[in-house]
Amino acid sequence: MSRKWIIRTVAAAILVLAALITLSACSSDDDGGDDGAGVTGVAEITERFQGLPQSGQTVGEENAPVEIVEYGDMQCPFCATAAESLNPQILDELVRTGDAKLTFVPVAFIGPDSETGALAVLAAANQDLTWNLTEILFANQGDENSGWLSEDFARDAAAAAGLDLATFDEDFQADETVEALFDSRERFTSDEGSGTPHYVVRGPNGQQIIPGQPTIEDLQQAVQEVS
Amino acid sequence: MARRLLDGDRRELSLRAALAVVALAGIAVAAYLVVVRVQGQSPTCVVGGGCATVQESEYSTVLGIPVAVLGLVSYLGLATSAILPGFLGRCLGLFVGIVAAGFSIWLTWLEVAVIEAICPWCVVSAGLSVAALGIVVARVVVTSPPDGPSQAAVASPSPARR
Repeated sequence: MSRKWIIRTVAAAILVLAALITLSACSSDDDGGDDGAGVTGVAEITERFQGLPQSGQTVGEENAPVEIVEYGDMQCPFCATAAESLNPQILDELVRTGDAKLTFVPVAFIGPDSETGALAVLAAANQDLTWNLTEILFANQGDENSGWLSEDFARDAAAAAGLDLATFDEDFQADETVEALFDSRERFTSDEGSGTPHYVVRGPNGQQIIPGQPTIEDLQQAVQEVS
Repeated sequence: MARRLLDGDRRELSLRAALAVVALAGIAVAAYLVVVRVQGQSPTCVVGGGCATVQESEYSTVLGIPVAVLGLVSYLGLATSAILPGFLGRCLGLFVGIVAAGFSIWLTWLEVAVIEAICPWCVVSAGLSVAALGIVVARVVVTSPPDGPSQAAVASPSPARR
């Protein structure tokens, strides 16, 4: 193969490669910040949980002395607000410090979309990604009972959260997941829940029930008192 | 001289065989990724859990064409170049090898720096692309004239030289 033809071939290949890379980079710009299939906010949420251990529905050190339980409905706008403003503070000031771990328990009472969302985040527990999916769904919350949280959207969000979709699909349909949702409702009732968000702070020195959205100071005080 | 040419032919044959093996492995990986994409599923992540994130990311298509399909086409091109003897096979191999390896490196960089998720299937495919590029470059080197003016220059001097 002559040097002339080698140069021509290499030059043509570099031109095609440059075009492909340009098109690839441009196609991401066209999506306007979506993180795939219309799901937004994924990178920020992924970063929020980076370096934090997750097990089932819980984020934080397994042997943390206090457990903060948050009950939430995936369609509840106040839960979405808490997810955006309060939960990052809980993670930074109580979970990363090892003072507490945070557990999300989904309940479904607003409508059918709530049920789909609750089953999705419970299914994600089997892959230890409940929190990522929960926060992604809250970040993409639509109008109540508008059909925004379809099974397809839940799958897209699950994929964006990094879940293995084949496993997720199986877990989403599993009887155990439905039973887990019934158990969640029982826990909610026994923890005196009547609306969401609803927080319970449990430690070696008892528990405190905090209905509605507390401030980070409320939670810090509760954690201190039950520790 | 004849012995040297014979050795070169043998080495080229070995490189074509190696390229065929790499291309077939690449076809298998890319075909799997195309099939799961068409079925709307996520690839089974043997290691880690970033396959779905990568597959669902905005970088998983170029002009609406899934990159897995582009990968499949490139491996088919490499396999064809392994089958084709002579100039055409070497030229096609070099062209596809550079494009495939370069684009795979770009996609791997995106996984690490932008998507922040690693799909082991894509990493394997990138490794195969780079290996294929190494083989096609070696094939070109083995068949290039050792010294002096190139064969083309000897066969037909450029107008400037005339």
